[in-house]
Amino acid sequence: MSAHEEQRLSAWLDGELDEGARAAVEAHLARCAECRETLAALRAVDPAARELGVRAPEGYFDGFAARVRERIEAEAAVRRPASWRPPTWTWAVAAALLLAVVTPLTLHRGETVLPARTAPPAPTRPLATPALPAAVPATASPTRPQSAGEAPSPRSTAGRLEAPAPRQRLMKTAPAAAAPAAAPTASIRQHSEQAAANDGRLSALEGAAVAPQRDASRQEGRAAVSIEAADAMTAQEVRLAPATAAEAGGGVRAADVESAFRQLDHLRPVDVASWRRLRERWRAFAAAHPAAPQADEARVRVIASGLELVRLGAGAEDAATFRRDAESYLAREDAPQKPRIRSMLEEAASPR
Amino acid sequence: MGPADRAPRDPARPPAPDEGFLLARARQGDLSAFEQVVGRYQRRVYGTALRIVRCHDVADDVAQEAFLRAWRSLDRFDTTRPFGPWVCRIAANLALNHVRSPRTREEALPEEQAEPRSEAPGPLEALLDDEGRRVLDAALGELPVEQRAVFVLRAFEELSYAEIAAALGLQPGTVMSRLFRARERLARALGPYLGLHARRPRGGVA
Repeated sequence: MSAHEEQRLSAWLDGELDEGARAAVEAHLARCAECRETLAALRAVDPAARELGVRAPEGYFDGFAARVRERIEAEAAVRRPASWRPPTWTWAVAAALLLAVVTPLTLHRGETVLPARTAPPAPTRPLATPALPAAVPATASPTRPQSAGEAPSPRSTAGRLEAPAPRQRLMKTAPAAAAPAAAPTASIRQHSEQAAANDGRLSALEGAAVAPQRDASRQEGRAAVSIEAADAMTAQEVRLAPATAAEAGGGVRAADVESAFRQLDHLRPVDVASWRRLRERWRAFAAAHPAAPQADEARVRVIASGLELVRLGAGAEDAATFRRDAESYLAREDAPQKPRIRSMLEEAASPR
Repeated sequence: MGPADRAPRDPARPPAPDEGFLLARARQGDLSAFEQVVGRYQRRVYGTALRIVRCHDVADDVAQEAFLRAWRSLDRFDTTRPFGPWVCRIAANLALNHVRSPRTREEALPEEQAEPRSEAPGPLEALLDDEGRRVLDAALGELPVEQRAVFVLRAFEELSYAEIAAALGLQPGTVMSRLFRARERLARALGPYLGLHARRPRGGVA
């Protein structure tokens, strides 16, 4: 049998063989009646299968789209508390505001400030570090018009751990934000809110089908990574964040914590093992940042991951962990999402 | 020369004229626009799920979840590409994972499909009679789910091997061998019902 081409006939039918293999199969077919028979039989399979219809219960599709919509709305309602956290773009806006204030001042003193992107930073000028959003709002510098393309991109800072030191320095030298940058701020907010609202939480699968290069600045190549790789990245983030926070000031810490939060938020486990890993990462996050604004949501995510494991029928141990986590949340004073947890407990108790 | 019985994939299913518009609106948070998109693809996505999981309740769950995930990832979806294959790939992956999950291994899935389909295509062109369809459907149900998922994405969604590999997290070589094994088993089941059809090559080599 090994002399025959059976194995490759199916791929030949699909036009999925490379040139050499195709030629070999065709040469074999030309002199082998047995394989021609097999080919004919294989070729009939797909069209025959397409004759099998799909039958759904009467009226099933009438309300389908509305049910999907309800689920989306329910999910948005549940997620809303988390989305009120000050998001990462706050830092881009703060930096832009700061530059708007500082740049005119320095220009006024007769100095020249070059944007970080077009000139090497002067060592004496800590503000022009590459870690900063490399832009100055147009209103800040009439002598050096900026194109719209140079507006600070909140996406470029979102979800990434950046060197905290320059930003911290920035915060110290800029006491207050000023009016000139109001317009750019508004546009940044609009942009960022859309980004936050659509916050991609792609599984490797979904990522495989999209075009990550469409917005290369965002989560560089993230859409294409496997969930395992994403998990690894997240583990690193969780480990890094507390250390960074310890050596930096409060403001920087908030950005890094947010970054770590978003990394976890992006993960979409596909099986029991990865749900368990995610649950424990949320637990580690909540333990590492007990006072962060995200901590409450992280505690809820521990429980939500637990519920997912219950749904997947992971086992008695996971079910017990889920109940324990839920009960300890309900026992907390600082737990604004108790109704959400109660409904999770109800869901876990009700048979599906 | 190549396989002749398969039309080019993209022209076969052009996106409706205003699908891009609806998707752009949906991307901006317009749920009504997304609802319309869901309405267009619900049967196809449900069909993909049902053919893999072979149980209405699970297929319903998978189909809804597939649209939910598509909604969440909409801002990363390239709207110049057709939406249908994308959401079907998501559904196929969810369906496969569901069938593989420990719980569903324990509880045997009810076989709700082992009946001839009444909405089958026109009888004039039909390759199979009712009995043949019943046998083919049963054979599909008996395939290992990994083979069935690959076969469904190829036979019904007409995805390329690379697309199937990406959707299910497989190597293209694995797609090729699973597809061959699936077709081989189905062909064996079909044999007696195809009569002359099986022996009448329709393209390329004769």
